[in-house]
Amino acid sequence: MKADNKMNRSMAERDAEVMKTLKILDDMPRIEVHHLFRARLLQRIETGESRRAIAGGFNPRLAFFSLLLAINIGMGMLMITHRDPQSVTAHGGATAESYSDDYGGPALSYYEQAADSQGNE
Amino acid sequence: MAEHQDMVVNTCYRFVMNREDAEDLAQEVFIEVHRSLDRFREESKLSTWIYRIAVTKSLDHLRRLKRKKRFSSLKRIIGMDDDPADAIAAPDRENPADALSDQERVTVLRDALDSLPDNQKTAFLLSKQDGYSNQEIADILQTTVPAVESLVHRAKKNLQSRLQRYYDSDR
Repeated sequence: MKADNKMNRSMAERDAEVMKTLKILDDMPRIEVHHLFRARLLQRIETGESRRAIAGGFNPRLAFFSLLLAINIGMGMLMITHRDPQSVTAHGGATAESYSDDYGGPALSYYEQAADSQGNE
Repeated sequence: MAEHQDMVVNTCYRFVMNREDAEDLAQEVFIEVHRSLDRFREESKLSTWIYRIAVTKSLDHLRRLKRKKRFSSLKRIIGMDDDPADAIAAPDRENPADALSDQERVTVLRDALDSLPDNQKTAFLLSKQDGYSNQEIADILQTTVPAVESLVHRAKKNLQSRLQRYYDSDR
């Protein structure tokens, strides 16, 4: 009996909360429109129109192809500047020279010495 | 425009429950009206057409908010929370405890309304606003008056059961 009463009371409380929450919509006041509403609106319309006038001559497809062309030209230029043949041969020549210096010295030419010593024998 | 301005702002306000957002949306409505007035076919009244745009814009705004909310809860999960939740207008109270409970009530109501299908939500909110007859709501929703009555009835039932569930789980 006590449990039933408690349950009924809690259901009544819950329903009261639900009613209060739904009442927010009924009590919602009508808002007064801001006095600058029209002025702001006209300004936004004018700004939008001038923006559209500027964008009127803009062709997105043409812009896209121009961008692709620019990227292609840029890539080509990059490839040309990075493939400088003179600098490559000069660098290669220096490396070859240093190799011949390192391995052509008398300290590492024991094969020839060995051949010489065999000939002497 | 002047004769519809008040109705459009208040319609948007019913949906978004925030004055600034409502005025901003109303401006978007009139910009859209200005832009596509030449496409208006006189199948319905001009007012109905304008209010339909207002409803569509408001529903779009609510969808955007929902997405934003989902994204910010995701950010919170991964620890990137930056800005607090959007402020929701609640009636002004002198007692902070009352103000807090009102604020909570508004949030609960908004969540419950968000869970309704768009047509139920629209029919219910417009029926709560002075100035819309069931016939006008039917014209805005492009349906019949009995269908509007049924939508309002179902919306009320759904809202009630959602709120009951919320307050049951809250105990």
